[in-house]
Amino acid sequence: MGSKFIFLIILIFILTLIQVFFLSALPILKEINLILCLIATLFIFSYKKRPIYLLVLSLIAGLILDLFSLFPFGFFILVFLLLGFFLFWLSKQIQLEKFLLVVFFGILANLVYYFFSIIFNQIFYLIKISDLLINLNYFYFSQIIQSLIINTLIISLSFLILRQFKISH
Amino acid sequence: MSKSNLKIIIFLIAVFILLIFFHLINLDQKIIYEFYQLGFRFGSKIGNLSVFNFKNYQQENLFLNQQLKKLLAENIQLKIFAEENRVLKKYLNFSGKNKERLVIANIIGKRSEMGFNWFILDQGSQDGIRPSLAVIDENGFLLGKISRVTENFSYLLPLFDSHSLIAADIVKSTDDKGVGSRLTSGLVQGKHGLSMEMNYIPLDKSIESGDFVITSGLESEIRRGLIIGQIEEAIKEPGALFQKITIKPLINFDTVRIVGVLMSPYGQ
Repeated sequence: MGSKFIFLIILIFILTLIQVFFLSALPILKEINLILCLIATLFIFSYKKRPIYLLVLSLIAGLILDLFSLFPFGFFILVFLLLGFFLFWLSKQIQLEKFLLVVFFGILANLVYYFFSIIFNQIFYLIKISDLLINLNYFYFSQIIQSLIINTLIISLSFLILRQFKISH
Repeated sequence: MSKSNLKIIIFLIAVFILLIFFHLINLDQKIIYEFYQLGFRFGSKIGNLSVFNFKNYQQENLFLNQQLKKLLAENIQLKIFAEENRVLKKYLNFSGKNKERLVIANIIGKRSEMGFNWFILDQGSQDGIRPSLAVIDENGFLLGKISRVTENFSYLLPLFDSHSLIAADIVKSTDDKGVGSRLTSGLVQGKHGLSMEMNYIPLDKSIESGDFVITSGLESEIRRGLIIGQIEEAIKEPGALFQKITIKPLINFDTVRIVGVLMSPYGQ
């Protein structure tokens, strides 16, 4: 378990680097959130076994994202921690063996991630921790929809590939 | 000994004597040299025409290809230097005319996070850059504002980003009062990450496409007169209290690689 945990932390770190330094400069690919996809996929496959372990991983993912973010430190830690709690609760409510339910899980994970991001951005701006305020116009919401489609697609594909891999082994 | 054999022996002795004679007068070397020359010329001609010299030809081709690539790379590098030189000369000219201090920076990347789009510049706080400073291109057109600064880097929030807000004036391109007379003021905001718009313009202001939008100078770190763009369209919707203006940027962000950060005279 220890080696798997370290492997996942290294994977989060590498995915963060790819997302921040490579994907974020590309036109459509900038909407991909690899860390969110990874956390959601981990919840789909191991929510029954180690829920606390997944919450700790969410926290670490937020911490690593915060290290490279232009938003104030703590922003992504809070967002991913609350997202972890939500996914933990949600994974108990629905059966994550069926494909359509996984798609639904992916959509909800994305929506909740953006919901918490907007809430914490507003709070951080109000208490003057940050001077970056997300402009909630229709352009931003269209970006959220793009991101939602791409990330849900990645989560669903990861589910299909990993399920196939699990069956064959 | 038959007669024919005798003739051959005499012929051979004559040849030997002749060779000894040629050797004595060094004519043999000249002949050998001529033969070498002839052979070389002949061989070269044959080699050029045939595939006998294929290996050498291949090596030469490889060598020439390498040289060509090297020269192409050098040529491109020189073209880049020439372009950089041209741009830097323009910046020098701009800062000289306006007696302003410019920090020249290279755009080294793009960054996008939570709907914000930034350009990363290779100059930071140790070069005197601080948030809210204006960033211009070589012609003096405004590109955006500095949003974040680290020790070695700074982040430029471009005008077209929907989070960008700049205090601006609309000026007539030409009219009776003269070029540049102020029509109205307002806030320019990025639109769709592609263009800009200006809202809350009173309906009685007659704004035409082609008029210019410039910085108003109301912001502490940005002086008046930097060109933001040109008016594309003034939209007057029926029943609306204000008109909306679409602004066309005069810069193609894809081609900008070197920028100038305009140091404010009022800053620290």
